[in-house]
Amino acid sequence: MDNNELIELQKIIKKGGAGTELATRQFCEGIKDTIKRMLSSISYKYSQEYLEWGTNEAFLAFRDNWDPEKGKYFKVYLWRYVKERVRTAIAKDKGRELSIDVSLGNDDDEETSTIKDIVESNELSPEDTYKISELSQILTNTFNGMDSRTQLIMIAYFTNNSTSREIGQNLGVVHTTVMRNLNERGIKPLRKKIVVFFEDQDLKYDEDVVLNALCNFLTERGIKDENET
Amino acid sequence: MKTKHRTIEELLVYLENPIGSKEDGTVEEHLAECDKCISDLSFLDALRAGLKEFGQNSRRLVESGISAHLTNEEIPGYIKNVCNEDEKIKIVTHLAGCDKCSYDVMSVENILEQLKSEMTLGQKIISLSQFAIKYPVRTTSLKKEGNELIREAVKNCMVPFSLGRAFSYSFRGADVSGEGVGEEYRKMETDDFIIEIIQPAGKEANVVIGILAKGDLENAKVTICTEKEESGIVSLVNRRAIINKKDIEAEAIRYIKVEKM
Repeated sequence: MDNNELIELQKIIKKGGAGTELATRQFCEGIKDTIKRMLSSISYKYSQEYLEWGTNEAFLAFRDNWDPEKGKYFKVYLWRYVKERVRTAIAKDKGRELSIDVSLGNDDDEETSTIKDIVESNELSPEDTYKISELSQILTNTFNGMDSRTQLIMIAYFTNNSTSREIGQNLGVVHTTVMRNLNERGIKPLRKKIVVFFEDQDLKYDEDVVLNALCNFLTERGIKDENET
Repeated sequence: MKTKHRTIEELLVYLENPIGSKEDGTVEEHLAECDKCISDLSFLDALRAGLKEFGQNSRRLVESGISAHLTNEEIPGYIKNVCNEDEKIKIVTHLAGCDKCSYDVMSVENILEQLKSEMTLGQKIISLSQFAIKYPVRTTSLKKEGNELIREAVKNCMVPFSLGRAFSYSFRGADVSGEGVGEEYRKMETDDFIIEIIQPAGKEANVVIGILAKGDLENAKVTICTEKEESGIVSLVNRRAIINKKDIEAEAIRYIKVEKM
């Protein structure tokens, strides 16, 4: 089941009505193996009850929290957010004082987030907004400085969802060369600039800032420049 | 940690796989215990989201006509990085929203790389001819390379008829005419020979090749290349030879090489 199929299923489920049950069944069947792997990774003994629990958590997150418009693969969403919910729920079942509102940091640290915050909080401070804007601009400049082949690969791979094999066929190279170029000349320079950005300003690496900057880079500049033409 | 870190390339493959893929098992086993790889995965996910958003905006600009399709002058300028920064941004913005231009640019990039690699002259002529046949509307984006290749071929006793036609090249009296009499007629020349090909109207697989030596010669070695090379020695009578090929079309001839004997 790929991400596009999941998006369609989510639409049906959110809409409600006759197709909901079938869509829910398809979803549960599709993610069953991933949930099993997730349960074994949490290191708790596998049981049918936990499988149902995990599937239920995944379903609620899928229906209520996952926003495909933000571009996230549901697969990553599962491992980054849903796994934590499942782990916490199982831990609670084992008698620990945990819930989805529990602090993720030290108990005496009032500023730390809760799982609920991670999943639902979208608020950004003015300082973070400024950092995102700065970093976004740096990433845009880095992208614009890449050679044409790297830009073409980045666009085809991430924007047009072409596979490395398809891109390789068009460029006359093998797919492993495409992947190597994508990583060495596309992804690594962007990551390097991000690290330098935080180091130069003596800031702690902030993943939220990075992820927000990545989600926004290129877009504003492209539209503005085209409209000016 | 029980399992090794995943490379960016492995994580990209993991993201490509549909959810629930069996191959994902070992990756997920590692993800379960590794914040670094989860962080890498999120980075890739966000990068994809950013480029996808960029692509959607670009697509709107293309569909509304604000972002125009790339011209044949813009494509080589972009690939060779001789356009200014604003032009580059404009081109990249278009490419992100236009699959057709993106595909065309990759094809031009591909053939340019091929021409740069260590191919023989004959292979270069064949590759560029195939490109001209496959992408006729983009042929002029390689005008410079096409003309250079024709000049180099002629210096090496070769007349690349397919390229001459694709790039409308004319030199030393080269001519394209005969449409009025229903025959396809082309003439090109090297330092030592004038070579003509005539395809009589209505006889598709039949071509007449005329060779005229500029000096007093009795024999010449002629190599005709369609998909493969075919060589032979021809006798020149009054400096001329006529070769009648019944099994090939003029269109299929990539080059003819005529050497002094």
